[in-house]
Amino acid sequence: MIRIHNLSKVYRAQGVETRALNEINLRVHKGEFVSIMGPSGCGKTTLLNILGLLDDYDEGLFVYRDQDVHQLSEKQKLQIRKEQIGFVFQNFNLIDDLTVAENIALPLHYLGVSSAERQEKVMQILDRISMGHRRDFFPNQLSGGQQQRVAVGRAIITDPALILADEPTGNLDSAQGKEIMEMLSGLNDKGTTVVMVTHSSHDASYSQRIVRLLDGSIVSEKKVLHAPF
Amino acid sequence: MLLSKLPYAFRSLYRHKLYTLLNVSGLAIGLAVSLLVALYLQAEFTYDKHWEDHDRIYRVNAEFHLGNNVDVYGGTGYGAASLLQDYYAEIEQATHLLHIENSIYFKSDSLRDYVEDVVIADSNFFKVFRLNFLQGNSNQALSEPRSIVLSESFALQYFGSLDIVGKYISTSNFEYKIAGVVEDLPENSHHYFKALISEPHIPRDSSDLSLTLWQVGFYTFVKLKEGVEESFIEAKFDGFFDRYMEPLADAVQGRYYIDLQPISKLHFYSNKSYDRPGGRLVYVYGFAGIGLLILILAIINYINMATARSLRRIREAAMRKVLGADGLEIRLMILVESVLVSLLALLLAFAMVEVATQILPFNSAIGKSLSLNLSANPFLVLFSLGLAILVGVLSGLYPAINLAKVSPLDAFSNKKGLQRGDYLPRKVLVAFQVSVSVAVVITAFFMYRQMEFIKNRNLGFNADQVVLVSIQDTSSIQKIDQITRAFRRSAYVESVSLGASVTGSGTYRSLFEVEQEGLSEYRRESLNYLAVGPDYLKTMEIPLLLGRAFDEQDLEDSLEERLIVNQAMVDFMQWKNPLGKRIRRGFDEEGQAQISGRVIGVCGNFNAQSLHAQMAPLVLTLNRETARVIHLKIDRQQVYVALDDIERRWTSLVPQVPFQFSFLRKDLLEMYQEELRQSKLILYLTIVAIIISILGFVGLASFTTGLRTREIAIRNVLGAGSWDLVNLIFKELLWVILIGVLIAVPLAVVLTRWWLLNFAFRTNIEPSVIVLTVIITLIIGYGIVALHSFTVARRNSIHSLENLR
Repeated sequence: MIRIHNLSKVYRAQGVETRALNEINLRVHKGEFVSIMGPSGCGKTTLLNILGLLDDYDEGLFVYRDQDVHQLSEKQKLQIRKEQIGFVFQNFNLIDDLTVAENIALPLHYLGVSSAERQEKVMQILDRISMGHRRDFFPNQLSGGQQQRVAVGRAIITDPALILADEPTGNLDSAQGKEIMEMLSGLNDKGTTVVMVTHSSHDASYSQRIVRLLDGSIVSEKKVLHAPF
Repeated sequence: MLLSKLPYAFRSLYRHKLYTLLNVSGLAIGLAVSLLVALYLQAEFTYDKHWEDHDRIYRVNAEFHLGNNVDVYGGTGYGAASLLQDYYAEIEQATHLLHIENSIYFKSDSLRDYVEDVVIADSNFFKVFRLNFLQGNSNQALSEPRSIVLSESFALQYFGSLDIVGKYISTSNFEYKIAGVVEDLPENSHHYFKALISEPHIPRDSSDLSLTLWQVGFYTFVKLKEGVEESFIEAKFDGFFDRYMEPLADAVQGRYYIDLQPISKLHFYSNKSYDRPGGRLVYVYGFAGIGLLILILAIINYINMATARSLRRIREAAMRKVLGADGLEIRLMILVESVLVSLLALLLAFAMVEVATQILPFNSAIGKSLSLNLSANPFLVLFSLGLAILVGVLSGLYPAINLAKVSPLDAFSNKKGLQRGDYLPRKVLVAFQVSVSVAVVITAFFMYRQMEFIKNRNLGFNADQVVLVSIQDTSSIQKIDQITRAFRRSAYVESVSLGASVTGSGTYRSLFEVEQEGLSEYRRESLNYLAVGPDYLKTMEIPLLLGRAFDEQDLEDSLEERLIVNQAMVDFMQWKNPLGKRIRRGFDEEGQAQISGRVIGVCGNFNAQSLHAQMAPLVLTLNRETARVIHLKIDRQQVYVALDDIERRWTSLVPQVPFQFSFLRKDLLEMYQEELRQSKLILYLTIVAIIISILGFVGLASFTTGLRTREIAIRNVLGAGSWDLVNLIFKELLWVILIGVLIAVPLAVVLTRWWLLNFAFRTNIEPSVIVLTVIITLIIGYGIVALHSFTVARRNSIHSLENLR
């Protein structure tokens, strides 16, 4: 699904060059759950931005579903993002002035889906994330865990092939974090590809493979062994 | 697409109530001022456009070329209307009217009261000016002598009904038969009236009429036939002149031209002699300019607040972009919100205008009767809607463009949203605000000073304790000698004299032949003159510099007229020995002066005309017939007793005419109504401008402190005191204020100078006032910053560590 070959990203500021990513090679297969770990500033989020078609890279090759990303126009990238990629953030990034239901419906709105169809899908999602009773609440009336559930709901409403999660449990307590990780894991079980940036080994244990980054380079890649119970 | 955004926009505004309230009320103030200005301009610029065929109706102005002078009058002689209509086939109809300057005492069965704005008109009047007759018939309305046509409100006031044709209404002298009732004339009519009295019919032949052409007394109007240019009439005037005016013209070596002025241009171009008071374009533009500035100030405030808020919305915009929104989507979202704010502000502005015009004394302060009658004023509806949408778009554009540029990557950052990038434009905008308000404050202050200066200036005469009694009707005119004698006998009256007009309100102008120093030849000059009674100089306390004042004996001497001239006349004629110099006037058909006079005294210069005019040469003549304003100097200690006594004496002589008086000091102030109104308007607008600017500065201060919350927290933790923080923030804003002030001061000085050019006598522009204004501005600025920084510092001490995270 994702094929990255010798990919580099360089930031230039006031004559100083910083290599955020340095000749990275990475493959993510369809239906896989991959965690990216590493210390602060190692390039995790930069990699996630590139994977989400939000940021450009300077060297190397990035093939997304058999398409060379470099050849895609901004418009094409936007279309792919709208239809195929869902995002989950550490700080939830819900829109304060929209209700739970409206936040979840937003991606469909931008896809031009009719209002009736939106309503129907939102109902389904609310059901799945168990937030039906809070559909008309505003984000600031919810707990952190509830907000992140809504954010996950928003990410999956378009049935995306890929979910990119940036430290999804970073602002949550352990019980809420567990809940979210189980949701992501459940999605992955149903065939959705998940790439997650995390600091937490516990969260990473939900994935199938852990990629470790240090100073912009991949230093290790290992499969997670799941106990057979 | 736009409509689907409305509910969200409403929600967003509802959820940020304080922000919405500040914005809506700020914009509403700006819009309300704009609406008031629009109403004012609409009234001013549609003067006399309500007349049917107004583009074919012209007033005939007279241009006299006599000696070295050219005098242009708004009026013509009695005969002009009928002679012009006879001579020109191109003139469809001509008429003339005469304003009765004083109020008239009207009596009906149910009401007796003084009425102003009465005109005398000929029977052709309604052929030129089509008026809607509610009762009666326009064809016969003014054809009978002593008939009267009333306006609707006049009729209702006096009779309580409109069905009054054929009834009578009387003055102290005559009875008038009511011939019709017409709709009220709109107030924006240059020759406004509430009633028309028919003119007495005196049959005259054309040679009689032509003699009247050299006088000025009537306002003559012509309605040209379709397609006729006024320049054609003016060009063809030579033939008219040769036929009717030539003989006398040769005798006085004068020339006469006419100038046709479109009726809709009278209001703003009423600078002729003998004209009705009109509007001044400079004032109208000044008012419009300040209104526009206030609107701009309000828009800037909104931009500032919306920008500050948009910085807090960066992450929202970024997230929307991640989810698939494009720049257009974001721009529309912000614009729909700002247009909505603007439309809400418009609703509030309507309410504000309604309050200002119906409840507050705004109309009486500016001497208009503006009202927000939206259903009858489609132009205003379109204007206000258009303006609101434009303001909404303009004020939302900058934040919209800014937010649309946000990168989706910002959704990943943990920035709190406030960035310093958009800081400079905000500073520029606030500097502009500061400069506008400082300029307005300085200009307004000097305008106020000028008005005070006029009120307190030495006029060359003493207006204090001078009571004026105008004699208007024939019965009192016949008894004027008895009346003045009776007044003079009062123990409370120090001195009595007569004047042809209210002293200080203006003079008359005529052609004179004046003896020159050391030459036998006389010089022809057009000069100001004023007919007065004996004791005039004493009553008015005008100093006599040379010779003697008039006495009663002078009135008896019919052979030679006695004259007093002012010092300016002596200087103008370069007389070394003014006493005994001869002056002749009153020319006959052959151009021979009929009245010969001799200078018996020289008095000090005094303001016989308004303060707009320079002190001009002036001749005082002694005349009982035309001087009908009694000037009484009364006892300073016993004003009320004196007035009672005067009234008693008046009533015993002319009981049928109610006693009316005024104080000269007050009458003089009324001459500066226009300026007084202006300074009031300026005062109101200044207050509005200051409020809006303070709001803007509060916004900037809160934005600046908001930007530096983290820095303030760090400094707080490291032990900085509150004043250190205030000074830190103020230093950053100081130069914003200073730049604003630097732009404002020269601007204010230029504006003030320009305004003062309207006056012959001007107050000084003192630097101390400017310095003081600047200091006060800095103090206010510092106060606002201090208030804000203290709040932030206090909040910080609780949340410091949180902010540092």
